[in-house]
This record gives sequence, structure tokens and C-alpha cells, in this order.
Amino acid sequence: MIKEIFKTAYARAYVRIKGVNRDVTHFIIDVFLPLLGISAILFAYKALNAPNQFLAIAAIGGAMIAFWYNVLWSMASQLYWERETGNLPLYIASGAPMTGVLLGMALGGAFNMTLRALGVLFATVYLFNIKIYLNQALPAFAIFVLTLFALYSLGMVFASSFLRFGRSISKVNELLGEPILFFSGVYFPIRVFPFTVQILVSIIPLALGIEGMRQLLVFGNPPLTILWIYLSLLILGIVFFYIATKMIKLMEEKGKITGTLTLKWE
Amino acid sequence: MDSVVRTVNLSRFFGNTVALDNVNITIRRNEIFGLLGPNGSGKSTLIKILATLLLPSAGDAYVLGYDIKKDYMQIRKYINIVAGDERPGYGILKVKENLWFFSQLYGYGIREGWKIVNELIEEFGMQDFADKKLNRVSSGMFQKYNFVRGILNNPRLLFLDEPTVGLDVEISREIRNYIKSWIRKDPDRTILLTTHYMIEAQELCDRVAIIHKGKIIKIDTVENLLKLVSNEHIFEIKTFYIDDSSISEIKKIQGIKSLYSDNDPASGITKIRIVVEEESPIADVLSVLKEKGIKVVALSKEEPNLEDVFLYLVGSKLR
Repeated sequence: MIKEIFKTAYARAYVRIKGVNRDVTHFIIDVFLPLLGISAILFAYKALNAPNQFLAIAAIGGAMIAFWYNVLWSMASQLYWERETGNLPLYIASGAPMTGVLLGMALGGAFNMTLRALGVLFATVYLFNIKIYLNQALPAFAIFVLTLFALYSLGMVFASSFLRFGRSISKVNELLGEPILFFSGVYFPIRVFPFTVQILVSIIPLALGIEGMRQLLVFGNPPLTILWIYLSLLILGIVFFYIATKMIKLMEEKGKITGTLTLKWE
Repeated sequence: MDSVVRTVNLSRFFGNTVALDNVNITIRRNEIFGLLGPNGSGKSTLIKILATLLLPSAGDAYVLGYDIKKDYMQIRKYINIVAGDERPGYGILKVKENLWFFSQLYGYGIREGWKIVNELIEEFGMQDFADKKLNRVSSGMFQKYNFVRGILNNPRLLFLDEPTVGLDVEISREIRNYIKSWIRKDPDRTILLTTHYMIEAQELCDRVAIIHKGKIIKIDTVENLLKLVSNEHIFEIKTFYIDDSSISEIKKIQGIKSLYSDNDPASGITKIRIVVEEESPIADVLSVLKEKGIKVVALSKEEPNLEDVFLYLVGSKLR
């Protein structure tokens, strides 16, 4: 079963990676447009003669924005679109493990977004001469991987459960888009929030991940001081992944009763 | 096992709507079994249930001896679906990449998948467009691709849901030829075909079930179904456009057993198909048309087809 899941995941990730990266102009656009948005913040900090740390905080947060939008638009809504094209019934009738399909969507999306996020990060660091603690790159990479694990596992939960929203799914995505980015503190540290809000936002993988990477790369703190972030992301990832595997089964069982696996224009 | 599909009092409701009403059918091994009925008659619902995508509200169904409610994972190993109105796959991938992707879902290894895909591309003469992105191929090419996707896993039961809908005559014929040659190659293959094209059912199916409003009206071979109207005379009259009230007036003529008409907006021609026991009422029909100043373009006596059988059994036209 594990082998089947990974084989299906590989095939589904292939669709994303091969399809999206076939046209190099997509990559350029995907890096250039976010760069403009982040640059606006960085120019403001520069104009105010803000210290380097301000710029580094915004650059790291800005580079991570793409992941959240990818989770919303290419994970959460994906099964809805798959149903519209007729792929979802074929997935299910093929007997292939749906967990593998979700995992493949997540791996493909995470890979594509990582290339773009790195492009954005390198461009901002170079263009704005931002200083970061490169000796912390390895522990920061570990935080990054754990963040993606937790974030895309959350995306898998969304994908399994968002079928019920039908066409209003775009509104749900809009509703979740900006607020989560705000509470994740993409352009500012979440420590500015009152303590209770900080506790609440720590269930958002993006918020934890960005905070962890900043502690390492911007402030040069040793990894042991943020051990709780490593652990929290790992636990969140495992919990979300487990919920996703249960939700996808539930979605199929419920869909077979209600007819929503094949219902279109809902 | 000779029965590939067996349903027992199978029913499905959506709220107050009855989609399937006590359906009892048996499909035998290696036959092309047709479900002939108009849109909304329950054909696709039956396929969805047998393909383990929908549960029935009542009754039972067995595919290859497996219970669709309990043994659905077993059934999925042996089935595939091709729906003419779906666009499965990914437009950003090439045709052959899409086929490879589906081969992985159907259990092939990575290299094995490419091997079988390349073989099928050659067998079905798809070399010209195998390297095109799926969103760049014509409807005919797409349907060919979709059919090949449907047989990738060499299913023992293939569901073809309106496989030629929206295709031109030439491509439809090509698809029908694929269907015929595919089933001939292996005695373990069986097809359940839904269509509202009587030519398709007549040409392909060993047996046909006439379905209307979720109920199976009649199941028999095409030959036997045609015998139901063999004692009748069927005429086809082509005229310039006729309105509904004139059609209603013609329907009232004594001796007309059933009638349907079709308007072709492009040519402005109305086709009237009339089933009569004796030929004499046709003269009355022509008189009515003359009285109303409607010009008759053509009059012909026709061989009965399944559309006439449907008209005879149900009292309304198929489409």
C-alpha cells in the first residue's frame, strides 16, 4: 500500500512539475510579480533607514507568501476542479490511493513553489543587499522542510473537505487568503501580537515557519532556542496528514451517498 | 462466470427525483450491452453505480460477482470508464504524458507505463498528435485519446457513456470501429454502452435495454426489438418548417400509431417520422399539408430502426 501511495504521488507530482515548468516564462512571471510586491515594502524600509533586520524579516516573509496561495488555489480547490474536468471520478474508479493523489499534488506544488520562493529570496537579498546568517542555512532549511510538511498537510485536509463548497470555493479561498497571511506576520514578527493571539496563530504552520527561519537567519539564534518550533511543526504536520487521510476516505464515502463525486456545476 | 453485471431491484433517488426505478439487468460476458434512452433517463446514474462512484438507494448490484457496496476496491481493478462529455487529463501535458499518468493510476510500473502507452499510440495511429499538448488537440483526437485511456488497464468491463457525443460522422465511425475490434480481441472483455444515438446501438450492441424515466422498458437483441415494429409501416416526410399546432393536427389523423418530428434550424427542413399500420393515412397527412400550404420536399418509406422501437414502446421520441 505504501508503495502504491508513493507511485501515485510520483505520477501526480509529475503532472505539476512537468506541466508548470514546461514554459520558462511562467517561472519568470512567478518570481517577478511577487518581487514587485515585496520590493514596495523593502523600499519603504530603505527610505526610513530601517536596520538590515527589518529588510531581512520582510524578504523571508515575502518569499513564503507564494506557498500559502499555492495551498489555497492549487491544493484546497484542486479536487473541485478535478471533478469538473472528470478526473476525480477516474481517480476514484481507478482504485489508486487518493492519499497518493493528494501527496503528489502537495509534493509537486511544494517543489514548484520552492523554486519560485528561492528565486524571490535570492533576488531580494542580492538587489537590496540584505545580510542574513548563512551559517544557519542548514537548520533554517530543516525548518523550511517541516513548514512545507505541515502547510501542505493542511492543504491536503482542505482538499479533502472543500468539495462540499462547490462553486463558492473561490470565496472561501479569498476569505482565508489575506487573514492567514496577516496572522502569519509575513512582513512583521508575530511577537507584536498580544500573547494569546501569538498562541492562537501558532497553529498556522506558515506563522511558525516564518518565525523560525527569522530567528535563525535574521537574528542568528542557535537552533536549540527554537526547538519548540521544530517540534510544533512536526506535530502539526503529522496531525494534519493523519486528518487528511481520514477526510479523503470520508469524502469518498459521503460522496457516494450524496452523488457529489460526479456532480458538476454545483 | 457468464454474468458480468447483475442488478436486483436497483433504485436510486435524488431527493424526490427517481433516477433509477427497480432496475433488473444481467450483462453477459463478452457482449456489448446497450442502454438506449433519452437524456435524463437514468443511463449515466446506472453506470455511476456500477462503476462504484455512487451508492444505490435500494436494491443490489454485482459486478464480476463482487458486491458494489462492499467489494468496490476489487471491482475497481477490472473496470474503466469513458464518458464522451468529459475532458479528463491535463491540458498542459502532452497526450502521451497524460496517458502515462493514467497508466500509473492503473497500476503499471513507471517504465512499463511508457511501454504500454507507446504501444497503444502506435496501435491506434496516434503518432501525429501524441506529442501535442492535450489542450491543443481536436475533439476527434481527444476522444480517441480518451478511448485509449479507457482501455489502458485492459478492463474486463468497460463503461462507455455516450462515447461519440458531439463528434462528426467520420470520427464517430472510427470510434465505433475501435470499440468493435477491442471487444473481439479478448473473450473476457465486456462493454456497457449508453447512447441516445440509435445507429450506435444498432451497429454495436448485442443486446439493448430501452430505458425511460429510470425504468427498463424492454431488454432484447437488436433484431428482436426491431421485430416489434416489423408489422408496421414507417414513413418519413420532409417538408419546409412546420409549427407545433400543425404537427398536433397531423397526429390526430386516424390510423397513425405514433409520430415524431424534428426541425433542422440550419436547413429549415422538418422531418416527420410516422408509424402506421396501413399505408392509407399517409394520403390524409399529405392532404393536411397541402391544405396548409406546406411544401413536401421528400416522402420515403423507411426500414424500422431502434428509434421507431423506442417510439413504439414509450410513445415519445428518443432525443
